[in-house]
Amino acid sequence: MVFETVQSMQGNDQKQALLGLKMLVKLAQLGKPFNQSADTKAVHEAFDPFYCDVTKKNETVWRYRHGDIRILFYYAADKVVLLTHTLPKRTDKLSAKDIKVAKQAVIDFLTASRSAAGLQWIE
Amino acid sequence: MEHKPLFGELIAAHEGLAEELKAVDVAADLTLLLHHTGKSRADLARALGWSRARVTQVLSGHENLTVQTIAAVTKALGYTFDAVFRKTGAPAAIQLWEAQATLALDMVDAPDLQEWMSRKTMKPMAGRFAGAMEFVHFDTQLDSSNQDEIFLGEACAA
Repeated sequence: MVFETVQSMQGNDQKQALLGLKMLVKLAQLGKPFNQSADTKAVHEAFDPFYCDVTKKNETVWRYRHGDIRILFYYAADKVVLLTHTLPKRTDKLSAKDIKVAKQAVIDFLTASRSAAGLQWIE
Repeated sequence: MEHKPLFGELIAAHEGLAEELKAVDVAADLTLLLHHTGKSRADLARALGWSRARVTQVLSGHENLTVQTIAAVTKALGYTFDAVFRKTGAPAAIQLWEAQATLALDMVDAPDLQEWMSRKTMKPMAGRFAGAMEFVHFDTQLDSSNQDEIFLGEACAA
């Protein structure tokens, strides 16, 4: 979905999104939370933790900022980082729609990971 | 199995983006080097006589860093650097922190590791596991040797 979102972006937003994704991917090499390597202002919680019916506990979506681009992600088990949403954002507050998209991506991922078939990684 | 570019077309659509991505690479590597040394951004700022804001800017990937800046940062961290060339598509040279991560993994108790890798969600990774660095971008996997491929390699249907 993030790919489609980036695809749908225009001009400089798309460019910045690609650059932001590149930085995030590089920092992921560390295998540690991004706030250990990135500037603290660049990485923090995207919005208040939300109760997830799948895990029966609060889950947190984080955000990485690269210029006007916000990349939302979730730390899943086994050092998996789920990219939940990418958006250009020029105001302080995330829209309810964007929050909903990010939450739903987490729920879909967790639901799939707990299904009988499990997650299937495609090479 | 042929891999098609995932972001290749998007990157090609932006003139100069490939070079900007390299600049991000360098900034990220400096960030990872800083982390590797165990020093903080404040330490680096002090060593260079820079402001914290300047350090943040240099490590952000927003700037086209000069060789002088890269040299100054690496020197302040007790390192130096070389320009290492490789064929397009060839694996990148292993960085210090990548070698360390692999070593750390080797020290993990084997039974635990096997159990960890046999989890349903990790099975497909086991065959290509080369270190403690996995990253999944939906259907594209990343490890220390293929991080470039997340932008160049698209997941293919079996």
